[in-house]
Amino acid sequence: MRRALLLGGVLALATMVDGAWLSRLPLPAAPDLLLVLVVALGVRRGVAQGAVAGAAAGYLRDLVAGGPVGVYVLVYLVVGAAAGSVMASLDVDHPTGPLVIAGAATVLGTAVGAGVVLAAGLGPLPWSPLAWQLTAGATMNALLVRPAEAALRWAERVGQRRYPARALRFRGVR
Amino acid sequence: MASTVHRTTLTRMHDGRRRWLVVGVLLLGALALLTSQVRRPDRRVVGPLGTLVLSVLAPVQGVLARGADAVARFWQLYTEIGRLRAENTRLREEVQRLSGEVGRLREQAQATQRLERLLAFRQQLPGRALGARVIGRDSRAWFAVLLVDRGARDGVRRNDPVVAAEGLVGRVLTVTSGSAQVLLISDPRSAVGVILQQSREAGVVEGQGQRLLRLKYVSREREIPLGETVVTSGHGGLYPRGIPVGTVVSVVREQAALYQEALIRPSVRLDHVEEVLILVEGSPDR
Repeated sequence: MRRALLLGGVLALATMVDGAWLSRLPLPAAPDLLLVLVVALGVRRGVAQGAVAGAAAGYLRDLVAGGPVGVYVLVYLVVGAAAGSVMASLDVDHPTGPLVIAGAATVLGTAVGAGVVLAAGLGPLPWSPLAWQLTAGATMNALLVRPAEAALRWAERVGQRRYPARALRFRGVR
Repeated sequence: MASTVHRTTLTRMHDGRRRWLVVGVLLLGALALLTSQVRRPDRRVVGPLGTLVLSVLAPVQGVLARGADAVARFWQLYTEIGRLRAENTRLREEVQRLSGEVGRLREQAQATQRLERLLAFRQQLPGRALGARVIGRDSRAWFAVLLVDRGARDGVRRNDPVVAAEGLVGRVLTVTSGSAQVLLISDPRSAVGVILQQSREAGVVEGQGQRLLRLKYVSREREIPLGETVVTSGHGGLYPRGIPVGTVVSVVREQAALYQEALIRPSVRLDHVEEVLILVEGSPDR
């Protein structure tokens, strides 16, 4: 439970960092920290947890983004599940492994998002810059893979730590 | 043993199905959520949970955004400083270049003025005059000698008179093929036969190694007025007649002396002269 809360906190923090910082960087395409976290969780934890993490991340992103709630839920859910489904066939510790996964996840996320927007009739898609944004976004996301993994490892480590109740009581008495 | 393996395989399959079931349920839920949203007029309903989450996230995001603003402002300032520094360097270089250009043009204008005066003076001189540029002088000022860029191959000979637009400079001391040394009238080795322009009294102007010259051997019969112009007399054969030498700035009359003397300020600023004329013809004897 504690680990789930911590991971939720990490996702919430990533949502805010995405909105407040990364989206404002003067880059060709903004990196998608949430997508990278979802992919990392999916690869490490499998299909179900990847999907759950994706749904949670998507919900947070939908709330902050201001669009119809459900678009990012679908996108990240599919990406998280897909990342989880390929975990057995990938060597995630290979130096280029995470980069390839991040690139593939960016392409998949963009494709799913475009499909959802078109299917739901949410508006026209800017096709011309899409390819460029896809390439630049994949590169940016690949750069974020290692920091995202580090953040997740930290959350999991902190989530598994046990605190002796006696020490807490002692501190409480003082 | 076989039944254990069979049971394990079944368990794995069951787990796999359960995972995909979770994914399927989530997908259905997401689709249902999206469908319900899209049907609304605003295409967005956040709901109580969303409102709660947003109310928690928004302040934190505000703090992060303010931090980002501060960083952005700092970065903007930093880049602006860098840009200003580069522009400042460029402008300094531009100012230096333009200052050099102004100095060069000013120098050119002054040289033109000097040459114009020299040319006008040249028209009044007898014989052929050769323009020469001063290319050196003794830095210690022990000797009042100039080096000019004309020599024997230009027709310059020893003892040729050297003048500037304002008056007499000196005479050629030594000649090489491409240059000549000019002994200035301020050198102690120099002596020039002169007359006072108004009184027509004759005398000799000698150099003292200083800025002022000394006028000697002037008859005591008439007083030398201050400010009187002294010109070459043409006696002695070195210098043509009538070239300004200087003006009287003070007179020395000693009781027991046979002659009176005076201090003369040269017409030409000998320490600043840059272009001269060498009278290569018309000076009768060398």
